[in-house]
Amino acid sequence: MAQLTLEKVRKAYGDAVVIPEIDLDIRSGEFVCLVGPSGSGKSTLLRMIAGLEGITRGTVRVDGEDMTDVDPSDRDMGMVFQSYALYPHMTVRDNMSFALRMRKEDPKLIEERVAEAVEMLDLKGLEDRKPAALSGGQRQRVAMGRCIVRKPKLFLFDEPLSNLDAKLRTATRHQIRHLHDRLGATSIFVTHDQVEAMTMADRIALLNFGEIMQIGTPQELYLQPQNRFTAGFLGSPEMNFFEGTVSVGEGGFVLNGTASLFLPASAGRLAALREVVGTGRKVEIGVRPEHFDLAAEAGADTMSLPVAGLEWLGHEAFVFGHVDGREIGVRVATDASGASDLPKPGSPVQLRVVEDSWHMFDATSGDNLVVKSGA
Amino acid sequence: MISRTTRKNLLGGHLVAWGYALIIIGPMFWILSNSFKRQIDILMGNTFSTPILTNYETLLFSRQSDFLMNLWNSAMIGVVSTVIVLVIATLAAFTIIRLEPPKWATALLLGWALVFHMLPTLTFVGSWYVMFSNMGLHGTYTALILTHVLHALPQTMFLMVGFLLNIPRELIQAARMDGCSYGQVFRRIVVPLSFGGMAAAGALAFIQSWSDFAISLNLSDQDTMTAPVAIATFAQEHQIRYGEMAAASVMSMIPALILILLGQRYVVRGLMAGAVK
Ligand SMILES: Nc1ncnc2c1ncn2[C@@H]1O[C@H](COP(=O)(O)OP(=O)(O)O)[C@@H](O)[C@H]1O
Ligand SMILES: [Mg+2]
Repeated sequence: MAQLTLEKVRKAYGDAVVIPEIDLDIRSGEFVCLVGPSGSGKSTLLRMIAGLEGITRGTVRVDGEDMTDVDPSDRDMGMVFQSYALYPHMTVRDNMSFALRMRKEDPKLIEERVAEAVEMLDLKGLEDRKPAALSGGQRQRVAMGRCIVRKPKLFLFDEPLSNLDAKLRTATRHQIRHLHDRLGATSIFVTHDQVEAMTMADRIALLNFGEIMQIGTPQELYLQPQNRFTAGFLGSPEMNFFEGTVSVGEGGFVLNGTASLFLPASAGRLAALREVVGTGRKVEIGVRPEHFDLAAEAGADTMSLPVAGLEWLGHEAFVFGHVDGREIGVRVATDASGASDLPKPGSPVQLRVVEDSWHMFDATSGDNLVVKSGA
Repeated sequence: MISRTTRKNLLGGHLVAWGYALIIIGPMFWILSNSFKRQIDILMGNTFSTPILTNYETLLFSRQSDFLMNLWNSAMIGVVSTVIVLVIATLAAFTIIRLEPPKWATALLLGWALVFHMLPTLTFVGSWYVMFSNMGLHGTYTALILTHVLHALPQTMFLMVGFLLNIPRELIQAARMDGCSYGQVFRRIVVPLSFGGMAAAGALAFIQSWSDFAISLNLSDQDTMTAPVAIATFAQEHQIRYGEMAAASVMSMIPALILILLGQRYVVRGLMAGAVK
């Protein structure tokens, strides 16, 4: 259990700047997910924390102590690698006890800790096997066991679930989060999968090109994205974006763009945003698939969407179509009777945006003007 | 069912394999048979004659023969130089590919190894002779072992680099996080995992040392003479002692054969792993 601070941490390989400058504070006992697209510097950041990668500039502190130049073997952090990196010539037991043996711990304590981890991770009976004789899921659990027995200050995970099949991945997600709570650990979990981040994290740090786009609880990132990147990254299907300029209308705003769209707003939001949009600045409007209502008939406040495709998922369904060359996804509720009352491909549906559930981003900076203005 | 062309190809393949084996085994068999013949039978070109053991007896038990000592010299020099070369090459390979020294250092080392490996040994033997004579080391085991180490080092280093590249970087990083210094990583992870490779590279280095002629001819003296040099001395000014020469050749072949039979599995597997991946 420990608290981690990154101060103005930078990483460059020669001229290639991977991480320009990051400040990050992780509280003791917290489960933080580093999420972002491939190549955004997540692994690099994690490996800098672990000490496996040099730091170009800045400071890493654990519990206030400067760790920047401490050797990885002295940092007391446990890491689960994407490839698991189990020692192929050692049995499961030897793999798990390796770190403790290196520290010359009492053999009795080692045996206890390994037995405990074997129990926790459901690896009974496999102690004397070599990694080659284990399934993918078992290897993954051994890799976690190797960390657990050490009781390290910090647990570091680098996409440990990406080699598992979908079903096992969901189960392991829960298991990891459960272990974290049970051990009272502090964990940093790297993933490119937003679902993993949303379901496991206390807080998510979203990275893009080595910069933190936003850090906060999953709810904060989903409901109040500070910028267009965050809004677009989280959520599936993706948020729908419409470009244009905005003018004030009756009970809301009107988007004058490629697709014209009416954006119902409460008095509070109207007042807060009126000034911002008054200058005629270019914006992007973002509406999540679940924030459209289906209207019975066309009106001034609706948009027509020709249905091109339908995805029925049981508890919900998504309707897809194109408006001015841009794909739009809309969530529609399903009921127990099945698919009978769903829109049919080929015929249009009328969409109405739900009041105050849309976002407005500055077209150049990407800032969320709604969140910024406090509306 | 095997089609006609496949069968033809198979037949061709067999012919090539057997032809190749004949080229290798033929002379060996000829030497083997000569080693059991009298000098007169060999000179007369008799294919069949009553086998005799005189050649071996002279070699092993005669007062004038030092051949057992020559074999011992070869074995000692071979084993010691192989062990040294393996230690150096494995450490060097580990340093090059996992400790990330500056690029120019790696390039320099591998470049030197390549150039050194390509130049014929005889190029160096003359200067080595002068160097070791000046140092008063001519004819010592030290001189022979050092030069044999140097001779086998480039090839062994290249092989070990290949084998160690097969050990994933993350494995070493995991061990580092588990509290190992680089020295401990080397001992506990790298060495156990490259055993097969070391066996393969070691077998090749040993055989190279065992069969070396050029270096030993110039740097050894009466007491440190190795088997191949001793065999050459059977060709004397006034007569060539064919029988003893053949017997000595047979005896010097035996250790290499045993080594290959025992190590074959490792060598083949090791070399394949290095080559394919
Ligand atoms: N040794 C290196 N030399 C140069 N660039 C590197 C090196 N390692 C990683 N990078 C670059 O750093 C960026 C971030 O990599 P990484 O942290 O692995 O991304 P992620 O884990 O988020 O997918 C990538 O663009 C990658 O090309
Ligand atoms: Mg990565």
